[in-house]
Amino acid sequence: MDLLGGHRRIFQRLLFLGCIGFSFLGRADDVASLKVGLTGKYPPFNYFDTQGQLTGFDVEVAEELCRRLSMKCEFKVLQWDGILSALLSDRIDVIIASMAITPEREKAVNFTEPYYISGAQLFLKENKLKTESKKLKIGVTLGTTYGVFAKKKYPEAEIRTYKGDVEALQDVENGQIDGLITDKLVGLHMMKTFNAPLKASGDLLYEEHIGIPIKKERTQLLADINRELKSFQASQDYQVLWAKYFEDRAEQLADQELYWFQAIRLLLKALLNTIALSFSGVLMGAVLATLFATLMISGGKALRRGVAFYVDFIRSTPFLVQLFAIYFGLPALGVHLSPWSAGILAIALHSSAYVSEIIKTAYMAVPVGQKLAAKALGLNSKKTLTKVVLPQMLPMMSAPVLNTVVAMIKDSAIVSVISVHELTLQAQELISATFRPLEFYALAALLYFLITYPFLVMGRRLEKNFKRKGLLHGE
Amino acid sequence: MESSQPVLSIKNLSFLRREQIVLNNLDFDIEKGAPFALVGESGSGKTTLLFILASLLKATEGWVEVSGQKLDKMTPRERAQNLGMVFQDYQLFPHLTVMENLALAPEAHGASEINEKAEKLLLDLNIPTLADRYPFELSGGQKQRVAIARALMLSPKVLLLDEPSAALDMQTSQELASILLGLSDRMQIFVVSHDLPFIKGFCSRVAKMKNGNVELLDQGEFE
Repeated sequence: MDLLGGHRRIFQRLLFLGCIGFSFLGRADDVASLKVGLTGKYPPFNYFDTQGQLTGFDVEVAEELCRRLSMKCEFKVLQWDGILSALLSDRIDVIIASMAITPEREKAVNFTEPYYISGAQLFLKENKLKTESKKLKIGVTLGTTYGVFAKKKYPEAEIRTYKGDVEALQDVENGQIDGLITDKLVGLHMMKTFNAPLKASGDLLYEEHIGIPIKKERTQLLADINRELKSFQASQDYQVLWAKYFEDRAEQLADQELYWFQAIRLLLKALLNTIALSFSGVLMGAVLATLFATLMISGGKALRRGVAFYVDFIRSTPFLVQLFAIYFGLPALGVHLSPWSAGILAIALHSSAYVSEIIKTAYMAVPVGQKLAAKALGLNSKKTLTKVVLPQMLPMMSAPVLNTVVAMIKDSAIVSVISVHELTLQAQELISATFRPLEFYALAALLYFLITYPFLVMGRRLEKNFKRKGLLHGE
Repeated sequence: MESSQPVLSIKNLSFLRREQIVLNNLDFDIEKGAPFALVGESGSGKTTLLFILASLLKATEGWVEVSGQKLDKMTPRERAQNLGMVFQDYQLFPHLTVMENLALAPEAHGASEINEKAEKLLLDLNIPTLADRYPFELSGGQKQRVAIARALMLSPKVLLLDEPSAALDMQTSQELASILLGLSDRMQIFVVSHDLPFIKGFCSRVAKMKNGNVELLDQGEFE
């Protein structure tokens, strides 16, 4: 019985629509711009102020260099632990994010001459200043030189790693750790801004030379930047900039009041991005899922097995790893995607695995007798699908598909790690500028709830309605 | 009308399932007339024969003719207009009302005056008030009548019924027997059943299926 043969054309059309969807993923053409990678979570060097503007010492150094090189600075906000891979995969040209020059890093990249020199400083709670080092719990940011250094200097202390200084500081406040190691200027800045109960413990632990990493092949860019950096550092401009950030700091930071209205406006804007990201991902995922489900139902044995393996593979690997594979892995194959496109593609692939399984299960759950009855009435395969099979599949699919939509809206928060400016990233930025984690995480949670809850309610209502109509049976 | 032509001819029909003989070279004609019943133990191949007649299974050997026309030369639509099928578990479409169940196939085939025909059939089968109900709201007997009406919408020459009394109580199956008897002047009724009291109620022609062979029974033998 070949009940599906005639459906091939329908699925060809769906595939075509899917291809249109993918063509939006294409890469924008290069312009005469310098792509500058930074984290945006490292005040006062690079961070977002309460107006949502990227600012800080690093940012102004970068803009000055771009001006002198007659290029346009294009800032790319990235997570610290992925920032070097981004440089090596040509997603960015330089990193101007207060990165210390170390022999390990110099094996992978070239550094410019230092654009400032600072040092690591241990900050401790006042009541821990006299505690023996082996009883201390110290926080450091993952992937920084502080971690390596802290393990050498305090082998008996417990070193905990954090995504950023703000998260570490949060844990100091929560009593989870006794202190943290960070740049001295950063630490002083945080204590001033957030009124943190910390004191510098002892002298500078060591000196750090902060440079700009550039991919080894790009020697011309290195020479250009070194030349401009030298003339910039010798100029009055550099001294003015330094003073603005590190000498008149108290005055500058006094401006950083919290404007709730502004902050909520930023969160709502980011919420729209979350909606756009998750919905376009799920929509594209639904097209893929239809194709995969069709192959699982009616494809040849090899195709069926291949698709089934793909579905199992996606369902048994973390979304975060899939996202990293697409964003950091694909450039190695010559496919460069913007963070947005990579995020949408990751959500599409991830949701397609779940939705195709839902479609397949619903198809299998329509009794064979229904297809036989349609055949006995002389219906062709297209009519059988559209008039008999699909209308019975939809009630079974509605609640699980809506649950998947909810899951993907929530998982879209993970896409913040490749710097897609969605709700979670926006909340983190506001927290690092204001140090109000409770308020902003609560607001973010509320906004997520406001968009996901209607889907849960809708799913439940539909299910109840279908049960009442006898189209869905209880568990 | 050529009265000499048998309404249903089964010609050298065999069916093998996993190299087991299910139907063994069946060859018999049914002249148009009183309801015809095929009885036999379960597993004797009656339902297999019915599914081949309804084109839901393909015979290994041989063929079937309706009024002298070969079934496998017909389009799916023509086959449905020659042979209507009522399944044992009815297989009404649960997402459609009774009226929509009746209208689905004629609409797909581009027929006209569908509503009028459906209303008349529901009246004939004594269920005129069920038009807007959904299948889950119906009793077993009502579902059975809707399934018959759905098959009759295409005015088949032969109406096939698979164990129609299986899920019905005594009284409902007696009502069904009289309905089928009433329909038997419009078309040939072909019932597969192992419910002998039900068969006796309205079928004057009975054949017995045993080990893949059909043997026509005389009235006496059957009694």
